Amino acid sequence: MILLDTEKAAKLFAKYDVPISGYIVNRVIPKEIALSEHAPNYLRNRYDMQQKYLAKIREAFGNEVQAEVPEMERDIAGLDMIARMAEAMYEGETL
Amino acid sequence: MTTPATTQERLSMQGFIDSKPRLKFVFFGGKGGVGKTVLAGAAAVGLAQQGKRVLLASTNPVHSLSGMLNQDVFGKPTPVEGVENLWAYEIDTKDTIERSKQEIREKIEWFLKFADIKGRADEFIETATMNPAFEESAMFENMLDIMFRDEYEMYVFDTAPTANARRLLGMSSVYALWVNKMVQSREEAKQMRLQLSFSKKEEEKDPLMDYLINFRQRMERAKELLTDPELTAFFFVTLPEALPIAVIRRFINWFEEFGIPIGGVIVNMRIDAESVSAEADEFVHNRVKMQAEYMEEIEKLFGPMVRSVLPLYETEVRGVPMLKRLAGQLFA
Repeated sequence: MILLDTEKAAKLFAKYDVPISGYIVNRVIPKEIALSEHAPNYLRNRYDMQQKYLAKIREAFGNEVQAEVPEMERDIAGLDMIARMAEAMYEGETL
Repeated sequence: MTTPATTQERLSMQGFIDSKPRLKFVFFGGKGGVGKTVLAGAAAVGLAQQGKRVLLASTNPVHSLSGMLNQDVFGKPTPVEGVENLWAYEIDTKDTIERSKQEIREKIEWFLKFADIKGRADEFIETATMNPAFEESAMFENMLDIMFRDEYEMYVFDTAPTANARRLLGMSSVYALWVNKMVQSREEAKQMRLQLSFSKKEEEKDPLMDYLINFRQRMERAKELLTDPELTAFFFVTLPEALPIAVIRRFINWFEEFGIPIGGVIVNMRIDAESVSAEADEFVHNRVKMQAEYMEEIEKLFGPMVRSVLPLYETEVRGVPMLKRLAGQLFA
């Protein structure tokens, strides 16, 4: 659904010549955690679901995807978490 | 000031529904991604199972009911397979927008002629309809049409993300002020024209004025329904996380200001701590711990308003059987 909304916004931007610099994928569950031996089922299932949509995102936006940012172990509140997020965004490679 | 004991009493979702026998319009609001659509679906399924004739309606510009129900419900109320008494309906906003554009065109053309202004209506129409508020007001109009038609016993709306929903509902108050002002200016302009006119013939029919008056009546009726706590309830969905909590906190304040009745708070996607093995990754344990902290905050902030706490499902909630399972938990 978020993917559909994004595609819709992109079309609207294009119509009015507003440049789009890229896309950022948020809350990607890290593979090593999702596939570790004792990962709870919900996490593994959500990981599988995400991988399906990630493929779609890469297909739709290709090299316009500037970063894929991981899901952290808690929500992003406070400077420490924001700094970790920034690092993932600027220095991370696509997952 | 002391709060009456009844509002202190903690009602479950079922308890709340039982306490409002005339309840008719049910809304779900909250930050994007908290599960509003799924909860609207579960609530609609649960209410239909309790014997009410229910319409589950989506006014979102991007619909997800068909995807959730595994069934095409776009464009008209469609009986939901596997649930008696339940219909689902994704409203075609494009249609409404085209229709409103046409109406606006006619009004602008009429007005340009009326005011002796040279110019093409197209430019004005483009400006008027590209406005993001235009799509929102089209959605709002669609919602009102459904409410006024009054063909079901209960309506569950899968509303747009928070800010939009608030504007939609707040709009009725703002509209009323605006329309009154417009009607007044129109009256003055009309009087002026009559006085200045050489031919003393009666001013012809005024379509703008008719529209404004009709619009005002619609808004008044909408406000009456939407602010009646026996008929309407707005539920706020949150996760045990900082941002969704902040959003519904703000939202609850706005709604109290507008006098729109709040049904309560629903906490979604709580990880079942028992399903997490002790050997599970640090990552998972930290999330469980974080949720526990935020559950305390939710308790402190919303306490007696919390109607239900729902678990994070192992897979995406899709299809009628899963919605029934969730409905069972929502109304437990």
